[in-house]
Amino acid sequence: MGGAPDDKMEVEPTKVEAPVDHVTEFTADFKASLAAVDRYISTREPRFVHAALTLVGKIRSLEGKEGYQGKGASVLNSMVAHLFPAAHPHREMFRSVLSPLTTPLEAVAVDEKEKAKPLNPETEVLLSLLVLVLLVDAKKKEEACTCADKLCERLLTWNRRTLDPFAERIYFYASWAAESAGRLQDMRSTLLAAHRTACLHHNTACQATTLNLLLRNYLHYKLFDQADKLLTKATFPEQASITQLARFLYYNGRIKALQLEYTEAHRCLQQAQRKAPQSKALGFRLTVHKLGTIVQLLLGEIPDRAVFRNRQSRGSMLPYLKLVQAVRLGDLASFKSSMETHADVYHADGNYTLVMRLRQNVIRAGLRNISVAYSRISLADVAAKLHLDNPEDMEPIAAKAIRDGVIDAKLDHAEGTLISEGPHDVYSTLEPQAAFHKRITFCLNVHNDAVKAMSYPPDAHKGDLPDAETIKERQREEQELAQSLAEEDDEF
Amino acid sequence: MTIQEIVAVFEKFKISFNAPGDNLDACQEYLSQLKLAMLEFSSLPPAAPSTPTNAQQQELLLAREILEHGALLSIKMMDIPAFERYVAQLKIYYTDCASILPESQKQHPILGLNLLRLLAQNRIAEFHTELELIPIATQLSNVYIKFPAQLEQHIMEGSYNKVLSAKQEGVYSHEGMYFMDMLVDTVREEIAECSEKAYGSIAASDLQSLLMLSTADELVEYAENRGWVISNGSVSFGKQEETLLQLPSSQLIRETLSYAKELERIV
Repeated sequence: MGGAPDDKMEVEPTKVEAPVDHVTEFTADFKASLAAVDRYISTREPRFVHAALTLVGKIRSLEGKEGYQGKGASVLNSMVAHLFPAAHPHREMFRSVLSPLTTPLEAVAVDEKEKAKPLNPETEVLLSLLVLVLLVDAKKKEEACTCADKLCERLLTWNRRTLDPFAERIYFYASWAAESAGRLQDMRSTLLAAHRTACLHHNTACQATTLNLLLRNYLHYKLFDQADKLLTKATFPEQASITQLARFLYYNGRIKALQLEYTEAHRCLQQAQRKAPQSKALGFRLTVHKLGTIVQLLLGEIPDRAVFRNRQSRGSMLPYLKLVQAVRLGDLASFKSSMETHADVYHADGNYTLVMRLRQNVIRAGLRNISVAYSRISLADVAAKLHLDNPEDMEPIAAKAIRDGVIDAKLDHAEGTLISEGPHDVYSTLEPQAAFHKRITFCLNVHNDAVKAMSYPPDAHKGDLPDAETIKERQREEQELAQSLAEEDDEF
Repeated sequence: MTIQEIVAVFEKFKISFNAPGDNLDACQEYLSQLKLAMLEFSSLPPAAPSTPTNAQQQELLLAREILEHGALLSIKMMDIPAFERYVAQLKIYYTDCASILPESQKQHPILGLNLLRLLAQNRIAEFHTELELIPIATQLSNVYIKFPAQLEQHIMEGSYNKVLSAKQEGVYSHEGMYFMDMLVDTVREEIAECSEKAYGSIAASDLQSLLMLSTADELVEYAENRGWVISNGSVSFGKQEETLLQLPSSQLIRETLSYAKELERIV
């Protein structure tokens, strides 16, 4: 998108000035997208809809360019003016909300032939979507919300499957508008209704999007209970786009982390990290990594170092790096200090309560280090090493750690000592056998799946049967091959 | 009943609720009258208006107060499921109607009691879900919320002594005591489990203080229930039977055969 206008400038340097260039190009894109919508309706090929929807990105990048604020809105405004029939209920509303955003522009050439065509719902929704996007980007919260409400209402009046990909975007931006206006609560019933309808229509795109929006809605108000109940009742459609899947996994992971199901949370977050776009969406990736780090620490694992070293993420991950270091060393003092210095960061990320749970992990990590190093140590010394506030708590803490299998030791109450037991010989148990079994089944499954997934040309089996000549030829080749193999064997 | 009559009944209820001695039956009698009367209120959730008139606000406030007293009464009567129901009803008033009603004095004590209940019932996941609904500033400053939150941390960490001492401090005067007793029982089970794993054997008197039992007889009874052996003033825990390592031959055969089958398919 960014490179194309510059190329054009080099080719036609004399014809038009640079500022007009982006606008004319955008107008051309606009018309191309409208054509794509028409082709999508007639052919139902999803690639046309993707082509049409790139317009959303284009109008935002045009508005974002220096000196072009309002140009995109102007083009859109004139398009609305000539595509929407005069009696259309939304025409005046769109024009009135758009006009404050526009900057004066030479009149866009209007093709008289296009004007005669009736407005189809898809085009209408695409244009409405663009209006909504511009309003959201311009932070016109009130207008965006009213506009979004009207659009959601209007969407319900049609029942066309070709509308689904556009409707999905409308819901997304409507929810965004409501969130920035602080009225997310009011969106809930609209979204629930939309989700229900989408499920009944097997409209996977809308289903996935509205489910994610609902989860986000609940989590915004920290209604984890409702979110969890929604998750148990709703299923995430398998064919949904990968970005929605990544979002879904993240929300899922957050809910599970809160309910202390750390293993499941870790699995979700890890998948979310893998499914997220690798170069873009830095904000999303950082959020997932932050939560993932805490969950891994709560599980007693030490996260991978790569995220903390990455140039893009190094700064924002620093408070979390401090936590990791504290947990790894079992250093309660540095844990406390980083809790205090970075409290605001943890609050802002919504992770504070999870971080508070880490305290016991810090103690346990320290306890584990001590139990490995000493075969016999008095509990008072352990408490001193761990900088515990109340040394008399040491004994029950150690007992709990033993019960949970964190350390392998025994306590002697009379003497007040912690006696470590030597490490088990894992090869005297059936563990290795079980591990091998797991790996072998995994490999066999991979093979079987690969065989199943093999695809054949659709009409291969219908071709002519090989005639006698070719069969003979092949047999001869096989024989030669067998012979040469046999000769090779002889050489050994 | 008009609203004035309901208020009158509610006043009578409050008198017998606050009176010393247990006139729980009378309280319950009044409460069921009040609950029936509440059915006629038109402005209660989920139909709560966004901008209530004075009369509607009065209804809402009255309903909230009745439910709050109902929750407290159910604790007095040790009826936990009823308490759970009242709290579920009240939470709507505390969250969804927060914008139209002044904050209730009893809001945080009741939410705190609810947290304590979840803790005592060892429902930690739900405990955290509930805790998350309360803003962090309140969690750290409000004594009623801070108390169960800290208790949870102590339990997770293993500092069981603090739980016992917290019971004696008693932030919750008498309403919370019931839950605290339940909590001590839950914690005692935890300690017993930990002790089984952590000690080979231990002096009976030490174990008695660890388990927060007041007399030696209680310990004997407790030990019997868990199958511990007390001899010569020391308790030894039922040794976990050393399971002899046996080769799970039938499982091995099954696995090997499945490998053979799969390999044959590949070749």
